[in-house]
Amino acid sequence: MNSKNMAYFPFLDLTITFDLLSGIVALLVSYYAFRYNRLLENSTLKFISFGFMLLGLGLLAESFVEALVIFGIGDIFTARILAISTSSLYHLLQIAAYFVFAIGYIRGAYSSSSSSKAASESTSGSQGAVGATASASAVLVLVSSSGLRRLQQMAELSRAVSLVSEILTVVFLSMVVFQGTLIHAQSRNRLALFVLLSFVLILVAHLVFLGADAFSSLTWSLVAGGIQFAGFLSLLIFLLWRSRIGSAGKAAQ
Amino acid sequence: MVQPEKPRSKIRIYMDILQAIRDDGGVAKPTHILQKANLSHDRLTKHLGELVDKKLVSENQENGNRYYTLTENGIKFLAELEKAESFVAGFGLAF
Repeated sequence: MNSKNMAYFPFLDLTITFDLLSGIVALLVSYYAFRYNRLLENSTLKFISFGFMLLGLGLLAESFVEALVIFGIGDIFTARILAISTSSLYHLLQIAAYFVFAIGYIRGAYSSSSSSKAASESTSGSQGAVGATASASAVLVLVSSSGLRRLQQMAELSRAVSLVSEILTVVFLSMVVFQGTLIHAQSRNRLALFVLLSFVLILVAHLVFLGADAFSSLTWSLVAGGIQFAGFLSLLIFLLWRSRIGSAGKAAQ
Repeated sequence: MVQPEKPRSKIRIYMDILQAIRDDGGVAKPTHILQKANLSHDRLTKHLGELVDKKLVSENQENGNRYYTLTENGIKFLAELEKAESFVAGFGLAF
């Protein structure tokens, strides 16, 4: 662990915890969406499941690599390269995830379920993921040619990727929040309110992340991580409350 | 969300039938189910037959009257459907 990492250790520790817990919640939502899609065969649930899976894997990968960096596993040069690559991969997975949510929400709201259309949208979602993976591979190729200058270039590239990713994420999340507001306005469903609240918090978090990236502020980045975690916490409350409703229904019989 | 009125899916009809039986204390006459699940006689007969085949409901005769009883599997299936319903409602979906 170098001196810089030592100084930021408590904050990075908190960031890892936020990312790890948020990733677990995202994977839980993905699991339930997958499970209920098998029961109900609702194609929008496929989008929700796939989107949360991308998000969860990205968050877990980032928290794992952050832990490797701050606990000084491996040499610092390799760790930094790994951290930059994973961060870029996470951002690309994040764009793909929120793109999938936006498509899923809009599709669920306005279009009738046509299998051909579903297939084409599913393909575009996959293309997003393939694109993300390809870009991340490109970053990894860049990494393999070592050298301090190369590392510096990579850090700059990673920052640019992060900025562009945050802008795209904010755009896609705004679409999701808009749809979520319409859904809640019509249904007045408390469960929909929790999901809306979580997407609003995640959107606010990404606006703060955007500012933090633009001004290279670690403090704002930490604040954004906290807000994003609150968003995932709201999703967890939604999952727990929903499960209580199911049990109440069973107990009532 | 602006959604046109859609016909009920098969799984929604199953859920309505199972809920109608449960609301009658787990045992219900076909006329009660028909009324509560808002189905025609033909469709009710068809769907009840399917539920009996899947062992989610059992058919009994008593004093010349027909009754339908929710089985253990039916109770579990209904609980799972209710959980699924509350999950999809969070995302503004219905089935």
